[in-house]
Amino acid sequence: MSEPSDLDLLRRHEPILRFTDGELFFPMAAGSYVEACDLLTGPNLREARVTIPAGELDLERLAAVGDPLPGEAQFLRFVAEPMSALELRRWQSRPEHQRFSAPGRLARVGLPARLVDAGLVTSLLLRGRVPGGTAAAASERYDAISARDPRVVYHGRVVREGRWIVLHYMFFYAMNDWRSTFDGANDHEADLEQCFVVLEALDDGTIEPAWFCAAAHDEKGDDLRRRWDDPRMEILEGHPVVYPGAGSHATYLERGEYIMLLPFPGERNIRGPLDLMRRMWRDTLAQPDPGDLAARTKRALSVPFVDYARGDGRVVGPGGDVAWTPIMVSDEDGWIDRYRGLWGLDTGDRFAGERAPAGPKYTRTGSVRQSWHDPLGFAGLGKVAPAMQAVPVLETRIEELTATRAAVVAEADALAISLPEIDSEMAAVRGAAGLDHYRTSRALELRAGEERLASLRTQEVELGTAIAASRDRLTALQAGYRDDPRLHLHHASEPEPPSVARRRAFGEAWAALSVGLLIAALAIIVWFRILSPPVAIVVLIGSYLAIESFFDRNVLELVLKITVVLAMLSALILATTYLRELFLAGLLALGVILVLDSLGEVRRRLLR
Amino acid sequence: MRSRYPFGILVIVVLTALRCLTLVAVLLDVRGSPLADWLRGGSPLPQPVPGSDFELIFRILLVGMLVASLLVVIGLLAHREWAWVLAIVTSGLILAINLGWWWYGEPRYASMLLNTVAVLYLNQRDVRLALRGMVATS
Repeated sequence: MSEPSDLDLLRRHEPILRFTDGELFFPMAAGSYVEACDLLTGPNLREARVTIPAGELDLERLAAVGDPLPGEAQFLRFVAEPMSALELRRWQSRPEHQRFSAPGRLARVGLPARLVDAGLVTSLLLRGRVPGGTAAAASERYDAISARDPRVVYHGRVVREGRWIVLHYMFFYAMNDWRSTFDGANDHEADLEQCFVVLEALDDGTIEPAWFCAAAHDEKGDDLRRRWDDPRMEILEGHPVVYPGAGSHATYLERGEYIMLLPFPGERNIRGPLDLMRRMWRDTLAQPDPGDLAARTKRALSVPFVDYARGDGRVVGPGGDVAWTPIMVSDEDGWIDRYRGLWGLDTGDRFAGERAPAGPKYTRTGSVRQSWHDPLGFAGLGKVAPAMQAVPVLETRIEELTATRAAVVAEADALAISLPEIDSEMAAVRGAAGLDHYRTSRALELRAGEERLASLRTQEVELGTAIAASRDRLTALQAGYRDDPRLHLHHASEPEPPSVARRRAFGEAWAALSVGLLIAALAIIVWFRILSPPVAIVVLIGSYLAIESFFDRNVLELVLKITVVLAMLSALILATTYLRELFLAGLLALGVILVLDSLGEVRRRLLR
Repeated sequence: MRSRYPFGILVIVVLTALRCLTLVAVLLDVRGSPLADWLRGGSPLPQPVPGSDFELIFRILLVGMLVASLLVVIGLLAHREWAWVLAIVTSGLILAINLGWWWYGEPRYASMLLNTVAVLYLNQRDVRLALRGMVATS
């Protein structure tokens, strides 16, 4: 049997992409995109000049442009003129325009998250951003290109490392229109997404898929990959099913809607106190369980950007609406190896969210992407043995551990002989004159030896336990045992349950407008000195909560929460006012408990 | 034999009955003993000054609270869900009034204590299960 070619391997496991209804851009050939772009060079967007205009550029010329001068950036521009407001309105109201429908993202979250969202929206005014009307113009340009070249393309390559064979699939989109089309976090020209199928070469010469790796936003390392037998992965005749986020094209492995979570810096520090509060509230006071408070806090601060990966639109790949056209790429391709600039408009956004990405090989800073030079390490597989190698690898490790333990035992035994000798010498010289310095150095030697012996004995026990556990695992592996396929996942993206926050139009409008209205009302109240700022804030937040609970139909729950908060405040005031009495009462109670306990002991002794 | 009322409900009934007594003591202006003074001090509202602008409002509020508290006692003993709702609303209102008094430098700590304890029992899992058949997070 002849060995399959790289292209055969890529085709054997090429993924199936199920897009969300309303998606405007699909994976295309990098060449078609580049031919429609201008190449710009300059210190920033404002001062950049067109070096090669659209129509004259292709992949070969791109490979030959060379690096820009120091202090200058190089980038492509897909849309030279964004649509005006009028053109955009016309474009949006054309009959064939697919209208994406989803419950308002702000209706899903509370006030803190809406405030964070308001901050992010405000920051867009100060950051560099993709101009309005760009996505619509890009969509028109993309439609024109796909009318001429209807292929849906992935760029692929195969990387071999030991027994691993990595099938690297790259999907190039003309634009990420997540913000403008799907109310997401950002827009940028050009979008590059990728995934990997990792195969294992078996002893009998066959090749089996072992892992699938794909990145969605901030996932990294172990969370990027799923074992091929993961029950939550969909695989159809060897082809993994992927759900790209609408507009963002982030790669999700489960159909659903994903809410972006901000990293919450103090989460670890507040977890302990919050867990203690939870236990006291639930167990000591017998109140309803408030759930994981740290997670709820994180959730309350999560930015309500929803990535829709519904999979109800066009399906690309085997058995789908359109088949893939693969294009093989490698370091030999000049446009991959030699062009280090951005693949779309460089807006200069400091947070990078609105800057186009660089090519498949390079990051925006020009360094080589880890996913390109070390795809196994990128997905946390550098430390993982192929399944076929698990037994011999563990056997080798057991041998190493056994040898280490033997060395530890030998050193400990030698010390067990030498230390009593030093100790007996110390006893002999304890009263001898003129040996103060000698005694001190011997005492130090004895103490150090004693500590070393204790440490070696501990190591001996730990190594013994580790060897025993490794042998148990070895036996299990030899019997065909495999770990839980999701054991390695730490913070994998989980889809949200379908939104229950469906509201009527005025409810949706309130969710969208509430933060702006609150801020405006606060400004008016304080400006005209209707109320003092603290009182105004309390009144406005109270009004906000009342309106929210009305829309969510949980007025009673709100009344209960307010009452509980008032009770907690009152308890705090009482505790502060009667601190001395509280302390003395506690002391009295402790005394009574101790007396009762002692009485019980006396009683038991008398009865004996 | 196990009581048909969870302990929490009995505590709330006792506390609400005590609240009724404090309200009656203020309404009837009961005086003459330390207990009577303590009862009046435990009311959410002070004795209205006769002839003042607020006398009528205070009296209406006191009567309203008394009626609500009596209904709470009856409803809780009859295992009615509306009694739990009424108890929460009444306690919340009284606590808000208590905090107002505290803010203006005339704290009514006894009433604050009675109602704080009542709210914690009203929110207990056992009580919510017995009266509402559900335990929601709070």
